[in-house]
Amino acid sequence: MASRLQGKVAIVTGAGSGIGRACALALAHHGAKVTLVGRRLDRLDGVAREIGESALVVEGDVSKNSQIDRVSC
Amino acid sequence: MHIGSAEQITETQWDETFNVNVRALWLLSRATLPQMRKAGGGSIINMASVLGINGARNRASYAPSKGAVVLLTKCMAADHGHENIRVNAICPSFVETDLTAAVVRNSPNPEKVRAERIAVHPIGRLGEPKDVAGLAVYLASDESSWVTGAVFPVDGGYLAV
Repeated sequence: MASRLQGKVAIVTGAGSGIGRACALALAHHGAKVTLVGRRLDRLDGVAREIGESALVVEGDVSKNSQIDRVSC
Repeated sequence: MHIGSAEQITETQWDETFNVNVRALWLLSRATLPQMRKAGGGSIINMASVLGINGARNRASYAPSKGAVVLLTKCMAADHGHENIRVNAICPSFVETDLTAAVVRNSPNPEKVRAERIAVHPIGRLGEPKDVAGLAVYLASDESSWVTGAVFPVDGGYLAV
């Protein structure tokens, strides 16, 4: 199953809880490298621990253009 | 999520809703397009809502914002399909998360509100976050390589009735 998203890189916003968290976990489960984006670092870190070493964490508010570069670069 | 009719919601609430639900998606999509182009393609998966398709009482800022997500999805699909950049939208109905649980909890009669919400879903229960994640995996994968500009309800049958 891990091969469905092998070699893919995913950015998931709102990844600290709810639907974003569930999507991040599922994408990682199927082999994607996932970048977790959200406003609450403690929540993101928790999800990153669930995923393991393939997860990156970026704390930020993507409704503010000044913080977008943190995610897209 | 701000609750209210068009008369009740404030300008600040309107702006907050559109900033989070629409502006953020547009900004981030725009910022990631160059990398996707360089990689030979990509998949953008927008989280809309069943309320981006149908209206509802007291959702006069939320539903219009999700309607905007649906059409941003279709416009970006039209503009970037030739670059193999696909753009699709998922429209969940009531999924129980911290956010939606708070709306129920803060209502005058939480038990009744929750029962009413279940009653409008033919499948007989509210959604869980993992009910949505499977579609996100499909849309992120090459299995959906001919799927773009599509809008998918994941809603326990909410829109069917």
